[in-house]
Amino acid sequence: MKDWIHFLVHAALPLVIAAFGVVLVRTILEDTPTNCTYRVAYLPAPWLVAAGIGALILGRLLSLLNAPVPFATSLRADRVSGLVAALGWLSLMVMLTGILFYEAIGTAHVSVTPLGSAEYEPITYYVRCAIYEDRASNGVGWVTLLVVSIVCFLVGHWLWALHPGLRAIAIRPAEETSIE
Amino acid sequence: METYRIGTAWVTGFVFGSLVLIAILDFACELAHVPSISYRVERWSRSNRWFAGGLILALGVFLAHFLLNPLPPPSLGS
Repeated sequence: MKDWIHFLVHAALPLVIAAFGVVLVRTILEDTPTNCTYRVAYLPAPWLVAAGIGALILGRLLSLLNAPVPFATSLRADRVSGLVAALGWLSLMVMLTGILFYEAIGTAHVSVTPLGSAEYEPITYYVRCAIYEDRASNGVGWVTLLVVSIVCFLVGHWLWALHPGLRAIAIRPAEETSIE
Repeated sequence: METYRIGTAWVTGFVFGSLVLIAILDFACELAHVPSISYRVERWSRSNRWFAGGLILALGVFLAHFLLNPLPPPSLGS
């Protein structure tokens, strides 16, 4: 039963994240920001941090719903996994380099148009402006709360999962290792 | 903030697009009955503790920079 709940959550996650992302992007594109002035009253918001920590722990505990299933790995599978992991890390670093490059352009206020009528902004200001807009519209910042909760839940589940079975075994050569 | 709409939409699309891809990959692992992403991350972290610590620190700095930065928008800051 617990294994089925875990399976259903994993099946629903891509759909839920994609649907929420599409709605969010459409809302942003239709929004005209009028509340991007610096507001001490809007940030920092302690409950957003609390919600993030709570979601992080929930994501970690989701792994407990997965019934113990012996995952047998082979040396070849581990090599393929290692290659995929290396490519994944490489992609992540390339993306982070791109993000930092854009951040540098934004910080330098490079002009978007030849006339210099508009300037790129750092990503930091986009994030903060979106939070200001949300809090100005409903007081609490429900969309921000939802985004923080979803992202922290996923981080907790993917990067801080609870696998007691994995802790019980030592790291051994792949062909001897059976992960519970 | 003339670039707010398109800039924020790109940032949001990028973040959620990446999350969807990872979620699909994780579900594929579940379907194929092979170790999930979190299992692999945990195994890797246990055998590369210092590297994992460094990456956590780097990601923490990124998040703090984007979400806890106290600076006001430049056009209104001074």
